[in-house]
Amino acid sequence: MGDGAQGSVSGLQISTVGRAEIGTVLALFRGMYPDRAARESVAETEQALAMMLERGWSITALVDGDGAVGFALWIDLGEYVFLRSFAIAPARRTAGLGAQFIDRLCRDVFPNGIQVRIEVAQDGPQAFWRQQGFEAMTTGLWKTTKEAA
Amino acid sequence: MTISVRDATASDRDLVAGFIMQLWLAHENDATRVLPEETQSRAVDMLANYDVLLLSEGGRPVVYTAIKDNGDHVFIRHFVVDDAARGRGIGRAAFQHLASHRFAGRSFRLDASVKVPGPRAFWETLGFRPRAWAMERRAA
Repeated sequence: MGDGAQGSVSGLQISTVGRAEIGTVLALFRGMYPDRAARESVAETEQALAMMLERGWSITALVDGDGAVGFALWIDLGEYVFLRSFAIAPARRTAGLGAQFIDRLCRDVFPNGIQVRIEVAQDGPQAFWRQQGFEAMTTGLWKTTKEAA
Repeated sequence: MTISVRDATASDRDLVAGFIMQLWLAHENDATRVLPEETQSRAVDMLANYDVLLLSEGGRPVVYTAIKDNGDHVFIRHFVVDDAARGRGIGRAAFQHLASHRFAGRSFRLDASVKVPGPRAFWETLGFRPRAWAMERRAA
């Protein structure tokens, strides 16, 4: 992975992903979430990620000797950091890597003291995020086209 | 009940600030922490970055809303019914007016605070349903 914020915890490295490595991240993402990747094939393309990097988004990877085992897609909006995507490779889950990765992001990557915001789907892993110190602030309410007007 | 709607302009700053004051007071236990100059500043921010609409009944503004058209949906950032006009179904009538005229056939999204349950209940009576939670913590 490219240059930028770097460091290691228990042999794990934190690394900032550059544009040239977007393909690697995307392959990792699709491997992590095959169902979602198929369902949202347009949402996370190389072109879309490249455009996001140009517009101020960052991708931070968690890397070990075998390569990237997780990544985070985020942006510093000044008032808060919005963490849009966060993933750990399926084969490496249940080993506490997610908690370590969040800890490193909050301690060493995100600006000190800033609020960090995530959006968790109604059927998503809220318990995991609570364990990482996140607290529910708002509920996203939708009224879809069928029901509108 | 006849509702009319108009786009707010920079000259509506004080009116918008008054609605924002009501919104903040509803979410803040300590009223002394809600500062008028900050509501003015937020009103300027809203007028610059959102479509700000004022809905009136009998010529008197009774609802303020700040909206952004995000393409696939309309995001409602603020929706405030004047305290003096509450309890008569004006909020419901105002949203239904927007949904059937200004934004006919569109999908809507908003973020309701988990700490103040009243607004969420109101929106659910209008057909809104929860889809996700925003969760936060402070970076160390």
